[in-house]
Amino acid sequence: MSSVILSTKCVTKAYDMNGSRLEVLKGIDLDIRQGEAVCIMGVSGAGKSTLLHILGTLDQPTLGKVYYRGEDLTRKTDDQLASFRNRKMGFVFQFHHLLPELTALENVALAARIGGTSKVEAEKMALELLDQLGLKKRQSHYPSELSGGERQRVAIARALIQKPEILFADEPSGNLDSENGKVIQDLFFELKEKMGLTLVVVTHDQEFANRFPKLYRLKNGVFI
Amino acid sequence: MSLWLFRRFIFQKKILTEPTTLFSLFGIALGVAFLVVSMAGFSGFSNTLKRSIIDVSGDIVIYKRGGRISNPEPLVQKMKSVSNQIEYILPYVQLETLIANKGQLSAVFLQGVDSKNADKVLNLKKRIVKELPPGQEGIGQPAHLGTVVAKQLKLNVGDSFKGILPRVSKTSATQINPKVENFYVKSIMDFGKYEFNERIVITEKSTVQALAGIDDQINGFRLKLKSSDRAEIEADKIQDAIGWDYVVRDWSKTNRSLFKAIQYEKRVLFFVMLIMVVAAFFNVSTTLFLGVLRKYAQVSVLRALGLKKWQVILLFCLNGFALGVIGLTVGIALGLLFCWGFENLQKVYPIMPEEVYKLSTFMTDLKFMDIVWVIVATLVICFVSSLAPAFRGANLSPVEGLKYE
Repeated sequence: MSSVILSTKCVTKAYDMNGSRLEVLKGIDLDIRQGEAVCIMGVSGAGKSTLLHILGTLDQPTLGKVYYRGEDLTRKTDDQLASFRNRKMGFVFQFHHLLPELTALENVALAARIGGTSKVEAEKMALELLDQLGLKKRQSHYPSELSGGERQRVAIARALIQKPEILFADEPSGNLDSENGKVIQDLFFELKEKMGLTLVVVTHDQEFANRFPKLYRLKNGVFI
Repeated sequence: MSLWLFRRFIFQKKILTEPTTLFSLFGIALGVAFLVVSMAGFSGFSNTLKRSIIDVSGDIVIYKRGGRISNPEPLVQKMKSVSNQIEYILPYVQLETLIANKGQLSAVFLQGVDSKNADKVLNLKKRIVKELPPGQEGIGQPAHLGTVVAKQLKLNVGDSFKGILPRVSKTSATQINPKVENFYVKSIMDFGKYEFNERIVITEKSTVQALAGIDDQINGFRLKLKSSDRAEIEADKIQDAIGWDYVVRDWSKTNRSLFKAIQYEKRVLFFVMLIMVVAAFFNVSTTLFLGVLRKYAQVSVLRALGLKKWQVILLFCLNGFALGVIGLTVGIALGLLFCWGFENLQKVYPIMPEEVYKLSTFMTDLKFMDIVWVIVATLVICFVSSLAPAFRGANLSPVEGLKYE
């Protein structure tokens, strides 16, 4: 059995809402093993996106710990976490969130450039990825000139350029029609196999969720 | 990387056409322009005053207390021995006289200098408003009059007038024997200062000496130095060398209080005008805040991709800095345009009452160090005003920004 790459211990997330305390996550314990494909399912407001953000170090838990290969991530500073995310994690969101001012190629190269790779090298890597995803001809197009499916594929390429260990996806096909959604879903599994990724996906799409070997259902802040 | 991201992501051409940005830039440019004009105005006023004093009196004036100098050579030697800055020493005679024309009288200082050498110290040719054509002469001795006294006595070039020196009779204390000399107006000059134009008449040294009956005696010297800026130091050296029987006055001591006042007022006005620039930068802050909010989702993605907080701060500070530099450049250009306009406007419409300000017109003079101060002050304000929006951008929660399209 492969080693645990990411785990949470008693993760709680609570918000103060006009003096009353709203607990979105209530003591979540989770172990994700290297190379696993994990799906977190739940209805809107169940806290699945919050959990994904905490796992991806974009948010901090109110209580509890998050570990990467046994290293406590909640003790790291903001800038340490930024470098960590850049090297180890990739993100795909429901909305593509591509930078409208940059071309497809520049958008894909972005994480590599933030990580310190030179422009030439980063764009070479980005072009290879776009080629793999069938978007080579679209490299100089701006996001506004791409279709919904193409934008999401560019966003996936952007998430993969730093060869992350873990790929997080928050409703990656939620904003697409069923045909394009299916293409994106297939792509995730294809890339997982090809690149040996650990996949953590949040969705409320039952059909998509059923394709995952490991499925967690979240309801009222706890796994059921 | 940050510069590339700034250029491609934040600072695009379209940002410069947005009304909020344009208003911000206009505000900075106007503030900077006023700052430039006020600095150039004060320096120009001071410089014009300095020039008029130096042109008419020389860099240093030396005269004997309560008397005349009958043997100038030892003094000249002493001066030359203590100061290597002296370019030329011009002896002069000065007499308080009356001048009269068509029933009008005016009390003036009749100054006598050697016209052949006057140009080596004084800059009178530059100050000529009107003069007789070469070869033409009037009746009597040639004289150069200030514009105000010429106007008061209704004198034009070529016109004759009388110089009158009232002298008490040697035999009777009550009897006055005026000595009269005929002059003609060789030229009318604008000496720069109102009181010079009202009181100065320049003629040949020998003419004044003859009118006063003082043979070869002189009142003092006017000195030309290699550098006018060293006048105060050289004046002190000369004073020590020739002793306290003589008054040694450099150009900066003439109207010293006015020069000091200009210096202080310039500093005060710099800070007053700077407040305008500060106010303008509140607009820049607002524009940057808007920019931060508009790019919230994208900044969140950049943070998710690993952009550090200080890099986000740098991005928005660079944005403020770029707006500051554009505003500053336009402002300085606008300021120079205002200066040019002001100089030309006062040629057509006299806007300064010369009885009050001593000068009727003045040229603007933008000093290099003033420009440096304007640039430094504006960029510091620009940097400070960018900090709040930049920190806001860096401290926004990326999670919130990612929720919406």
